[in-house]
Amino acid sequence: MLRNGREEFKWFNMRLYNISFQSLKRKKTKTALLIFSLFLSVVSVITLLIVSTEVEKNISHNLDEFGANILITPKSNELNYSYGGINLGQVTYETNSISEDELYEIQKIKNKKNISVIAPKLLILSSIADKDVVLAGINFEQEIRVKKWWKVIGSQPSKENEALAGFHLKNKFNLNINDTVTIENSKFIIAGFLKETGSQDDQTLFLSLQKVQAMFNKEKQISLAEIAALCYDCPIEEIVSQTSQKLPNAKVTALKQTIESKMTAVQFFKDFSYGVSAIIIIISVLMLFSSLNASLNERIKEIGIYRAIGFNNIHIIKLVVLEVFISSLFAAVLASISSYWLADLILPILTENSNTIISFNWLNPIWAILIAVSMAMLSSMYPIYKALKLNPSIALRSL
Amino acid sequence: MSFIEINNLSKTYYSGEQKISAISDVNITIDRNDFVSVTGASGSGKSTLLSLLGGLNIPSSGNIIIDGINVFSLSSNQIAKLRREYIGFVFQSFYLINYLTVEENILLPLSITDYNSSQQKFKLDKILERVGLSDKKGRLVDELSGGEQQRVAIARAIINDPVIILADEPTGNLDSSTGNQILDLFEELNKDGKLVIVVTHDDNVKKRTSNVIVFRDGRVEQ
Ligand SMILES: Nc1ncnc2c1ncn2[C@@H]1O[C@H](COP(=O)(O)OP(=O)(O)OP(=O)(O)O)[C@@H](O)[C@H]1O
Ligand SMILES: [Mg+2]
Repeated sequence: MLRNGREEFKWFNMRLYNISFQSLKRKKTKTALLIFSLFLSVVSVITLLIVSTEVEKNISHNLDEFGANILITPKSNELNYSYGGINLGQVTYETNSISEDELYEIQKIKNKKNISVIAPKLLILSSIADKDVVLAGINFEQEIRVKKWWKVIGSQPSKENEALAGFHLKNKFNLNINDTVTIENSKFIIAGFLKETGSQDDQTLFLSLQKVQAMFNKEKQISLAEIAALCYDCPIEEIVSQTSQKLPNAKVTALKQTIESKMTAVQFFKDFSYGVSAIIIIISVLMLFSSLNASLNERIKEIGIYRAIGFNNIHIIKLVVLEVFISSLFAAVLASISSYWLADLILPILTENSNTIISFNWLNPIWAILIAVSMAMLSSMYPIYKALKLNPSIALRSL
Repeated sequence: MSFIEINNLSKTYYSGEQKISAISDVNITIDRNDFVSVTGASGSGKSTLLSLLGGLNIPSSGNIIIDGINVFSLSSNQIAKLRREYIGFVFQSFYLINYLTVEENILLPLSITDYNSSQQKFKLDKILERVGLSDKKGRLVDELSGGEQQRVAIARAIINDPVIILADEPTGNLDSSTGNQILDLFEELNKDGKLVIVVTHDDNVKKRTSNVIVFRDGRVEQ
């Protein structure tokens, strides 16, 4: 009674899509297997995609942070001073300079979001107690970010009258922390000194940029700037050329060596994960294909029945495609959610960084749907094609 | 001019090197209200004739004219439409869709028509009553007996009001009393004005039909 009553209520309009729905609903094992195999391959590909993007970001962030990869120097430079592997010419620093205003034009380039650190420097040849000394006016915060290898003993200067001494300079003048040095009638307190770096920095006394500019009447002037650009999603050449356009009076050089090693590491990881994804997809399509082919006879008979009823090819294709489409959509949604969860589990292991926050990217679910649907279509196309090509009377005999 | 005209119809199957002449040079005319049985030994070409009549197969030569339409001059989509509108098939092993319920199976032919929900329900109720399955409409077809399954198949064949019913050994899988019930149904349908063609081995069936066509080795015996 109750059953009958319920059936009166759930009366529906029989349409093609009902056939697809019921097929999915009532052939539960088959549907579950189809969804599960689609899910497995999509979830592995999308997880790999998320993980590789995050690891790639992580690697290149670490590499980018490791040092400057762009150097900005005055254009007509005949100097012979070597700085970070780039020849800066003889130390006649006074001759050439760039204005600070011009330097900060770099923040207006198209790829401005990739510019991570701008470290300007004003280099001056001066003297302490009649001995030659190279003074570098720097922005301590920025400088320390591009010189990750600096080890400061004492503290980093925080006031205009504080200085940081290079290793050899400290020895040459026998300086200690809190000692005072006099330069051009200004007194400076040694706040800290650097451990040996093996570079020009060992000979240099670092002061605040503004102070040096004021002392030598070089307001808003700098000798060079080091730039750290985050380059995982843009070619460094792009940034260099964009910067050159904004800074017509400066020479913009990419520090090739840093970049190339950086890029190979990142590229390798990318290629590797694309390769693995391709293999996963190929294997899964083959597996799906063979499992769908195994049930081909059943499908052929079913299609024979639909034809005897008077369905044409379009009706039958609609029916099967809808069924495949619904399952792959379902698999894609499950895979999209699970892949974030999985990536969240895997990433801390790979990056040794437990608080990585994976940014949600709308492209991933779209990829998931595209991959699932095209995989399912690809592997179900052949059985459908075969069933449709078959003479209906033969299809019906194949029972 | 007869409702169905079969002219010089031949069908040859090729399996590898072998040529199998399933039917050769068959000429038959059938009228609008006939109840025809087709008999003959196994392999004599009965099923082949039926599949050609329903456009499920293509002849090697000859033609079939149904209601003035030359069937094999039509495109495959047009043949599908002809089947939809003119022909209902009933098979020996029922050929129901096993993941659909009784009512869903019966409604299959309407799923590609414009009938709305209440029109579908009206037709379904009438037919369920006719085949005596009103109390089983929500069941999956696998749960039914053979006779009930064949009645579902007949209901599905007639829901679209076809003019012609083609049945290939519809009682072959049923015991004789169930088979008789099915034959009663065909007889009623014939009285209601449908042209029924039944392929059968069964002498009982032959006796109840108005014409008997006998096949021997792919040819019609006179
Ligand atoms: N698809 C096919 N390929 C090759 N030969 C076929 C094919 N279909 C039918 N035949 C052959 O054609 C002949 C006629 O077959 P058909 O099925 O029409 O016989 P039938 O009279 O229905 O026999 P039965 O009473 O056993 O059902 C047989 O020799 C059969 O083997
Ligand atoms: Mg037969």
